[in-house]
Amino acid sequence: MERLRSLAAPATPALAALGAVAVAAAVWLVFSFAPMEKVMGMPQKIFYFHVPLAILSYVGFFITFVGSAAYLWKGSREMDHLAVAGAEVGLLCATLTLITGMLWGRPIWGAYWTWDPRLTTTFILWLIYAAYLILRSQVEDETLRAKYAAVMGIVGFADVPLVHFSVKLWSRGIHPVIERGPGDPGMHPDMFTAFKVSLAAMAVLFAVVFILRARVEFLRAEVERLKSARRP
Amino acid sequence: MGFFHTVWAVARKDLLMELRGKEMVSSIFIFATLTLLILNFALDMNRIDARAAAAGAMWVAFLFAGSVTMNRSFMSEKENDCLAALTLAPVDHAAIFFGKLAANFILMTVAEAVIVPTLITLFNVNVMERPGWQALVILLGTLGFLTVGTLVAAMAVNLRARELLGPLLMLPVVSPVIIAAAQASAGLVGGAPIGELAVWFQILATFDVIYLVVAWMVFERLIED
Amino acid sequence: MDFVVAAYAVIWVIFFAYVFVLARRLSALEGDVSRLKEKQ
Repeated sequence: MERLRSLAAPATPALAALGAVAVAAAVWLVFSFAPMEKVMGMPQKIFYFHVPLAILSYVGFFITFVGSAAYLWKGSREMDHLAVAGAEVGLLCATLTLITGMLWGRPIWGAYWTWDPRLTTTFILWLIYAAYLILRSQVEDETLRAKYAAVMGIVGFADVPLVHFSVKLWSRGIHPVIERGPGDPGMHPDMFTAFKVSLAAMAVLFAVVFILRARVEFLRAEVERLKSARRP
Repeated sequence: MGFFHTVWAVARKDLLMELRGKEMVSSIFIFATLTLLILNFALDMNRIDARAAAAGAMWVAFLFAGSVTMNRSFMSEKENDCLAALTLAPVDHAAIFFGKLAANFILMTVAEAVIVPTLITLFNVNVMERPGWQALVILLGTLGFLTVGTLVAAMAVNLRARELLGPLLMLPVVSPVIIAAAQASAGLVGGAPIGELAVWFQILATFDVIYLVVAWMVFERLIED
Repeated sequence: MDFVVAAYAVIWVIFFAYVFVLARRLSALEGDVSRLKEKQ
């Protein structure tokens, strides 16, 4: 962990620069290179960032799940720090997924919100991780906070697979699904290129924000440690 | 002491306590009836299909009644530091959890046995037209939300903001279970063929298994110091 | 088109607002750490 931290700190500015360049490239590809979608037209351009954000919110929640399990069974406080960072950055991505989805839904469906299964379950996930962060803010005792948050990090993650498979299970949905096959991305190859670049760009930015958030948590723990060391 | 013996001992103790003070069952009943009353007017039953609303109203009533039950289940242990004593006992800690869960489940079943006839009378809809299937939905749904609720209650009891955090942590996590249960119940009342409802049964059963396994694995870590 | 502009704007406004908050918290914490270490 110490080694990982000492590697992450100097790499962050470079990662941020890389992320900025990649985002610029992705935006260019989305608007100038990828073809206009025939049915939806312009609003389809939202998809290139909406879907990567959704994927990254799962990544964040998965980090929380792994960190929570590692904390409960190995008892290492550092894992708890990673769990918070995963939940908060994951929640940021989920928030942006919901907002961009609503801004796509209005011109395409004629409504910002529908109770489609994918929307409903994503909203539930959002609530779960928002509750997780409120729980953390409400428990003063450090050990109790880490332990309780870890339990919620594990229990809450049980809902993630449901969200992902909800579209197939619950067949009345109207949220689009991209039908993919082996060697077939389910969209125009140029659209797929733009999508992949955008996913990579957002993943880099996710890493940057995640490192920053985890660093806040490590420093906070250090401040606590130093303060308690000074007390007789 | 064997595992099931411990489970039963904990459950029996809780149930005996509830039997001594009868305020629990009566307050659950009042609470659930009030929920039905409010929903009846909130939904404006003259305009909408009562059959469609009844199943949803049933699950809202169950959920409210359930949150009262679960809050209680660990509060009583807190009062004289009984939980600490319980965890010192040389028994499998998971058995304590399952004992609590069993007590909550039996209490909820009793409450539901009262709520359902009340609902049938007040809404004038027979939600138990297909009694076997509906009972299965109620069993799976209740088990799902009680498992999460009991686990959350075990945590919330130690917190200052327990009235806030208990429902805040439980409701989002159990909402998929409640949605699936309400959809299955509504389908049964509306006369949908079982084949169409299979997906809800699958979701309910999957969640029950996942929550039971997770709670069983996590509870040990949760109560140890 | 308006919705596309709004969506892209929302992403970056919220993203940078979050990064800004994180940066402020980081610098405050770094200050705390160095202050506490000096006193020791």
